[in-house]
Amino acid sequence: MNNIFKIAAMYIAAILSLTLYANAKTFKEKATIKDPVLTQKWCSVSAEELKDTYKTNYIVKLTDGQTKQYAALRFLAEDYDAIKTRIQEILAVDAKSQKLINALRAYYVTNSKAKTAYSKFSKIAFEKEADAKEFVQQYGGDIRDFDFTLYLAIKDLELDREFLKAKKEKRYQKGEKIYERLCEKFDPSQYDTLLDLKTDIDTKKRCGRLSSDNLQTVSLYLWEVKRFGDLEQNKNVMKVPQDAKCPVCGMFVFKYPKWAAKIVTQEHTYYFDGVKDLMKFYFNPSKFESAHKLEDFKEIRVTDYYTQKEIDGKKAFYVLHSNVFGPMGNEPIPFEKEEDAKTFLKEHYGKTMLKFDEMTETEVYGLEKLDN
Amino acid sequence: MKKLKMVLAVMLIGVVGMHAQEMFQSVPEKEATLLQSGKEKLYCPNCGMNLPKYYKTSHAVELADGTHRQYCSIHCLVEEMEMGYLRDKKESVKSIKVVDIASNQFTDAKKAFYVVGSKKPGTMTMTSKYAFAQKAQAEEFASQNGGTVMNFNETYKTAVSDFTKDMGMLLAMKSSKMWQMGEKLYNEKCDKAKIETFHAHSIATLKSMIRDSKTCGELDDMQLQAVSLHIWDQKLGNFEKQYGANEEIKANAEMFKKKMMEQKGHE
Repeated sequence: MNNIFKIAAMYIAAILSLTLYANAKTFKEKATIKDPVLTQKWCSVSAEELKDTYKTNYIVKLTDGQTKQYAALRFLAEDYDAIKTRIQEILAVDAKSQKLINALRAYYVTNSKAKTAYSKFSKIAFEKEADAKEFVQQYGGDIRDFDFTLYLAIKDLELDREFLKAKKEKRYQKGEKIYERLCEKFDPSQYDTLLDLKTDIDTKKRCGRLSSDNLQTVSLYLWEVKRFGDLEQNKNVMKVPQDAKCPVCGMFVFKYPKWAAKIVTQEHTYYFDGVKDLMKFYFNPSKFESAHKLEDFKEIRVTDYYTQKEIDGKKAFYVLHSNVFGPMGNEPIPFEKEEDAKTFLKEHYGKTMLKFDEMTETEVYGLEKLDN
Repeated sequence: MKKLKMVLAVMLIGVVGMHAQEMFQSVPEKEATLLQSGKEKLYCPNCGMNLPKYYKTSHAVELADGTHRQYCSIHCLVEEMEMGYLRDKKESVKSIKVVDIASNQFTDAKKAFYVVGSKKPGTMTMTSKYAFAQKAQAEEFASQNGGTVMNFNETYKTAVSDFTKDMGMLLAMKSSKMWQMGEKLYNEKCDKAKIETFHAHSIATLKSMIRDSKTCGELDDMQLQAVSLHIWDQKLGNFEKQYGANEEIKANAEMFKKKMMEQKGHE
């Protein structure tokens, strides 16, 4: 009996210490004071709810009397070129007291382990150096001044867009559904900013009553997708830059969208005009002057032959030695669904169907032999 | 102002082809300690510059796995630490080393004495920073060449606060000289199809690939650097990707360009 208690106690202690450890990485940005200063409800750039990330909010007063409020430094950075000649005052929220402070004199903790909503690397402001130091004790990171931190935020914009991409794509699909089902049809390109669009949907009840989350979702979809055409038109089709050349054969990949495939590493995205060249590269990158190793190739994307959508190459099914040829001749032809691959195999006299892990270098080079 | 003129003069001479050994920072290749390995070991992983050429401002980090990354200057160390390769790997940095210019050997940077802001030219910066293992030697150097003796943390902080300004200066240098020179070489001497097939992680790797493949023929280090910068920054768009949105740098660059033109006018 005693033992059971001991084990239970140890178990609880272990859970406690685990949660404490986990908490050390999460930093709650939501306002915890009663009266946060909200000059508006939503962020001037992202239209996100300001109070949800109040501890990283910024307020900028402009010389023309306008006031802007941002959900995070990242959004101020995005707006910086537009406002920089008109800035009168920049106020930051002190993450400790949640009071407004002069941003130019604040202490910023950069590159810490504290996770915030909108940036891969958080940047958190403090009025007092001692508070910043205390924060560093808990979360790591360095204390920097405003100029450098803003510089970093501007430089990180690209990184941060990439960081939120996966989340956003899911949101677009949901936004499309909301728009099709609940909203009156209107032209989203008539607004100057996302915030104007969102405000208009809300005040005119263009989509009826929406939860705040759904309102943001549909606004994002309309602003970032619908303005430029239909989701269906540009959804899930691999986007290939015009200047991307296949590292194996040297051809421009965008000319062959039906066959486009890519390998994404931390540093590069390699585009290929077919799975065959992708596999040649995958098995032996150094042969094509790449310093990457096989372990670097975590993300592989290919184009489904039937649906023409971009799919996960590592989970796809490939038909080899069929009578369908790609730009580089005989190809392993990718399908997301096994049934599709089987149908194709039958209809086009394919010889084998393989999963990604079942393909070998010999098999791939074998596609080029005459006797097939 | 005098300092600026001097730095610009040194840089201009550097660009128009001064012999490597005549620069204050340089040592002959065989006297330089290279702590990193691989084909690209001669080059700074952050900017591609030749390490023996900028040896006296060289820094290095030792990583947990025992390997090193060696930089031409504290500017490049700062860039990798604050926003580059080492940004999320700071725990793996076991030690930071700097060249003691009295002995030309590496010493523990955290225990070194830096002379900051002397009249000797800096590397990648307007504010030169040279390190000594012995305090007395740093003081002696400062009394002869000006500057303030500081510890590593203070020096690092200076490098951080100089960063945007220095980036502006570097952009001015690149856009008015190096990129043009690189583009000309690229168009006249390089096998472009071959270069298209290169996939390098860093400008240092790219530079070593161009060197070893002789795809641009025989080039000296400055030509190699110019051609690598042109390909890395401009053709591969890395400069735009990293700094494109940063108008601050562009504004600083314009200022420096103007000063450079004025300086040229005086000569």
